[in-house]
Amino acid sequence: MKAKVIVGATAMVLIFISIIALVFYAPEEKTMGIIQKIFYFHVASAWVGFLAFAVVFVLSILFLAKKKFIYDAWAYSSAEIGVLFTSLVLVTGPFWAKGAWNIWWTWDARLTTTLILWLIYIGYLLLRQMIDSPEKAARICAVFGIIGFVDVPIVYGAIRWWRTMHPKYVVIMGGENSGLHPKMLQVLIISVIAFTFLYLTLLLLRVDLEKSRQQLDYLKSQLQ
Amino acid sequence: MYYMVAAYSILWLVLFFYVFLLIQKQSSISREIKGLQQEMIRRKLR
Repeated sequence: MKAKVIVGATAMVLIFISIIALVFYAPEEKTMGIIQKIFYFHVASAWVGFLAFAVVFVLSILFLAKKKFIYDAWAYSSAEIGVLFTSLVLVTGPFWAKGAWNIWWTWDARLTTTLILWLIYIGYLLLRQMIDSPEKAARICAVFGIIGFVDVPIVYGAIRWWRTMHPKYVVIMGGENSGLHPKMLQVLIISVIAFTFLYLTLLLLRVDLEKSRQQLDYLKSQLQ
Repeated sequence: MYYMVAAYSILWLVLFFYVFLLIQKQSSISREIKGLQQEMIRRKLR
């Protein structure tokens, strides 16, 4: 409980700071104008999506190796949050695209691979609902979660491997003259840290729910 | 400007709605667990 409150409070403070920073501190981009400011939470959401699916990948391996359902509960919770943040990437991106490119969507490599990533983990969540046996669902979803993670490096590398309209790397692998103003980079880093804390808060809440659900299933089986 | 406001509004609405759903679901499951625990105690007493 204490950990949840500390992580949650930190997330809220950092989010508040990042909102203030992106409104008042981050400079306005010359060509795109204010629409570019979508970038800060769009990138932060994408980072959390990747992080969440990486957590699913690691915990799925642990579940298959050790057969402990607590790993499955964490993996399932992380997958759901990953889908939530990838959905936010897919929603905020088109708003930026409409402002910058004057189109809502294009079948560009980065956009398409992100949509595929989202569909893979939607499939993961659907599979959970469709399989009745919890053991079988956990096992199949663990395999699905490991294979599905293959798309994450493809999404990340898409803008390097294929010719795309999507902006190039600006932070990691961006190189010199990647075009990000130091003030913009500072705000981006604050936003990414804030969203990482938000992810941790949501994960702790979601895992608690999963544990309660498992306890409920156990009590129901005892009463029958 | 409108696109940015729209994008951020959707982002925060979705996140708040998700937290609301988590809290609501948690309280409903906790209520159900409490009910089942009381039922188990009743059965033991019988």
